[in-house]
Amino acid sequence: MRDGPEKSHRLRIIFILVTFYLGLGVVSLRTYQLQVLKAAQLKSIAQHQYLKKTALRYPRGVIYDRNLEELAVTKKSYSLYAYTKKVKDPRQVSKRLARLLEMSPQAIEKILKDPEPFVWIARPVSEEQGEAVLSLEIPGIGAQPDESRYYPGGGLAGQVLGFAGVDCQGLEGVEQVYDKQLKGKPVFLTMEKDARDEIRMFVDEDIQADRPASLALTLDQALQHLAEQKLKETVTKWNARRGCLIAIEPDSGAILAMALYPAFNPNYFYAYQASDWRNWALVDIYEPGSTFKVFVMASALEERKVSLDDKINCENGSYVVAGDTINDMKGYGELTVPQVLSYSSNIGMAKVAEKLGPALLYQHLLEFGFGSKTGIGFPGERSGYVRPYKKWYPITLRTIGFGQGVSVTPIQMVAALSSIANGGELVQPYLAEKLIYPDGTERVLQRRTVNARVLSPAIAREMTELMVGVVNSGTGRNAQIPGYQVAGKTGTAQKPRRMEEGGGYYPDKWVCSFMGFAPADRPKIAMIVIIDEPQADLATGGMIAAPVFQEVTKYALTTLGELPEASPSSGLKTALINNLSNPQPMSWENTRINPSPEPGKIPDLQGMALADAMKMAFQLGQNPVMEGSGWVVGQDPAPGDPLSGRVTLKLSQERQ
Amino acid sequence: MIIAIERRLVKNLDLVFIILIGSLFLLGILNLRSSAGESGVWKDQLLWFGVSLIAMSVMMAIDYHRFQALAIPFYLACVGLLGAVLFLGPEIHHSRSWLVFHGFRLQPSEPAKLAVVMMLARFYQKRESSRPMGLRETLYPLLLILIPAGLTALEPDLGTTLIFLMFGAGLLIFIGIRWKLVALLAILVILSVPAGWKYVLKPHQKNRILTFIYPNKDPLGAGYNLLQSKTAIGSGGVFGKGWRKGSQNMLRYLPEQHTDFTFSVWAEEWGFLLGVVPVLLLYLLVLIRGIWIAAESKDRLGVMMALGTVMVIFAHFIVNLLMISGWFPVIGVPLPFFSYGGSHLLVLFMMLGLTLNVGMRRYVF
Repeated sequence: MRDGPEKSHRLRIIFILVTFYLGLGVVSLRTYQLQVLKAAQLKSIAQHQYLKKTALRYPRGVIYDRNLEELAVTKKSYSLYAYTKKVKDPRQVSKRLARLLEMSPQAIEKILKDPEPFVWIARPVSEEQGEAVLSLEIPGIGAQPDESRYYPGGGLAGQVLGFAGVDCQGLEGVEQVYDKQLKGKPVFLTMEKDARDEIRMFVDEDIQADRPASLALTLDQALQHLAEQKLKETVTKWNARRGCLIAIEPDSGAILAMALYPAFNPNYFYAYQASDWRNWALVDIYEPGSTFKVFVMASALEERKVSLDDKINCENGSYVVAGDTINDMKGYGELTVPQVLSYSSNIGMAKVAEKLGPALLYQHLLEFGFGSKTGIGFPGERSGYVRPYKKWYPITLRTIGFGQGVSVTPIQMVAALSSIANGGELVQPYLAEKLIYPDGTERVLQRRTVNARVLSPAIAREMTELMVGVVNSGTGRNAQIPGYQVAGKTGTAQKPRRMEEGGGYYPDKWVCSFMGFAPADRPKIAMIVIIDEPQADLATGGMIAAPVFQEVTKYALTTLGELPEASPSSGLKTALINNLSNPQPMSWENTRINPSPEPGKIPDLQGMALADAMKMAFQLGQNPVMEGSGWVVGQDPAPGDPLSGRVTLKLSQERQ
Repeated sequence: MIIAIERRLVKNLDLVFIILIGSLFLLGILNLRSSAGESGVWKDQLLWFGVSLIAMSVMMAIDYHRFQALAIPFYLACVGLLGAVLFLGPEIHHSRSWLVFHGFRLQPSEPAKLAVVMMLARFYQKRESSRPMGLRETLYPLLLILIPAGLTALEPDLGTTLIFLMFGAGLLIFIGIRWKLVALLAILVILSVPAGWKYVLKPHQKNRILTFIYPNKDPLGAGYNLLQSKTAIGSGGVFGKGWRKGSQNMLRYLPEQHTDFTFSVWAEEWGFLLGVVPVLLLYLLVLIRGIWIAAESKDRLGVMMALGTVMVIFAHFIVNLLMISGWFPVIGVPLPFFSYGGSHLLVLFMMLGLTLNVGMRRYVF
């Protein structure tokens, strides 16, 4: 052939080489630009795309009483909705639905004829109702699985518990105060999501940390129930306006019962006025009347201004001071100090107050906690009012001596009463005892806290003896409990007239109250009972409120036995505590134990919390696909079907 | 026909070239193991590699001068198949590029590339002159290129059409064309663009080109592939995310991840320094070595065969990489050694065999 490659090839080959170098140069430049210069930006685009953050909310925590009886739980429910345009015969549909719901056909029909395309018919309805409605398969009518708050006790401690709204957010009472803890932080799961929206793996599996806690209150369900029962009977019997009872463990400040009547049932919170769900034992102030004499007397004894042997002239029932006249219901001559309290002499107490003087009286009242909030930690708690002593008129000193001219809250009275019962220490009243976390750990929210020493032990004992006298031989005889020494004090206060009505007092409106504790030598329970405006001639605290005190206290002391002891030793309570390895009450929380699935078959994931269901699916090599959020309400393939490498989890809430 | 590989020939076998292409192929398999997921496609590719090795050996064993005579029937057969595919091929992704018989799939445009290279080599060999070609002389080789280019355009498979035009033009220029004619052809191509846009391109093809011009217009539709590809490449950064750890790849965001966009996976998982630069260097070395073989070749036939191979590889390489990185419309061109595809691999190794053939017979007269 010819002699080797031609000369002209040389130049052309160089030309080709240059072209190749240029081409590679361009490609290198481009990849350099993407992988070095734009890397950070493109990395973030990639992560944004495949990292999925999902907020998981576990069911709201339970509220228990002190014995871990359920006061508020979260349960499955349904929210009924309608696509109004798809409902063909609203009248007919309304009739069918009304048979299942607690609603009239007319009300439902009105909702179905709403111009909005999507309306809620009822939320929540019970699980059974929701499923019944779903089984009807009416076009345009649907039920979305949901959770709702349920209060098994109905109105039990209603105002204390408050309520959680439709979306399980705490709106009032304990539910509001401990909303954050009961709700828990939503758990943000970081997951890798692929292009088909399937979740491939958890990047961040730390899902135990923020579960909602359950809350144990200091209340005793049984005592609370009895208290509410007795209040109701009494308020009804005397046709009173309302009633209130607070029972406290005087040593610790733990509130055992806080009952109000009329009651409030948080299951139907929407049916009440805002004023009905107010916990007025903390929020409303009143003029205490004679029960207040206890604190004036205790202050005088503490300051040694009076002693038990002193005799006080009670002026035969009429005592004029600086132009004002103080009256006793019944005229007395000379009374001993114990008698002054036993007979509840206003004149006697006015003179005790005189002996003490304004400055000391004022100082002691503040020490007892009057005029400031107890710190029980509820929004709206009032502090009451004790007018600074420098602004007192001469008569003010005397009237305060028998409980007029000050305003207090029932909770303040109970707190101050505890200090006499427990030997002179003002303890902080509290309602919330501890938080219980799903792993069984507990966080004590409050334990015995002494805010101040207000009486010496000796004076507290003397004062107790005086109050025992009131029950044994004075106005408080109705509070006697056979076998126990009871200390107490009655109160019968005229209600002050409003300023615009001319001031002074109503002649026919009374607040009848009784406060006391038992057993007197070793008090386990202290209590105040207030009955507002009973309709009775000569209504007195001894007649109307003391019997309530007597019955509830007797029950507490006899039936509940060692009730106020903090650490229970009974087998039952131990069993309850052992159950708390998972305090969530419902099986569909992570307590659900599925029988280990047959090999090769898909287990029942329904009813599990999302995170748990997804984990189980992963363990079985099933790729979970989520539809919505919340808990698992459906799955495909169905339980027992062969493993297919993929499982779709239908969740309780629509995707947002 | 005597098939005999003498010891002398084996001694002249270009081991450097073999090592280079072997390395590229192994990296490609490694990448396929990741990009094709659990589908086992990489095993298919190995199987095809086995077939390809046999074909390559055959291509090496026969003295390349014998392909002068074989080129014509081979070319005609390829053109026939390219015609047949328009009528017999099933429509896959809007185009008829595949012939399917008994589950066996063949893309006739792939052997057609080899056929065109052979025909142009044959033409150059026969040409006595060294002067640049005029219009009349250019018509025949131009037609050799335009027939398969036109038929693939009808499938339509514009990526392959472009490849034919690119390496064809390269080889024509290497043979030598008068500059006036080059200018004339260039003007013709430019003028044909608006006509082609109006009468030839199908809507989905126009869409691809529009997407290239306005990449962010429709990020979930036509622009999706490109966006995901750029994200994959860029998020790989300097050192990559690790083999089988690329999120865009493993989470299936990247489409066509074992065919056209397979190099995006490589870039994502190995990064710029550890992945892209070494592979680009390997490519460069393969191309240079190929050109060296061409330059060392003893005759025009050999020069054209080796150069043709190098240019086909380069055309695929440059179009694919610019396409996956967003500097060229997405027109579906595979990357040699990396993309999955039996026909492509087979023909690639046949051409490499041909090049080795040229190389080892450079001293045989």
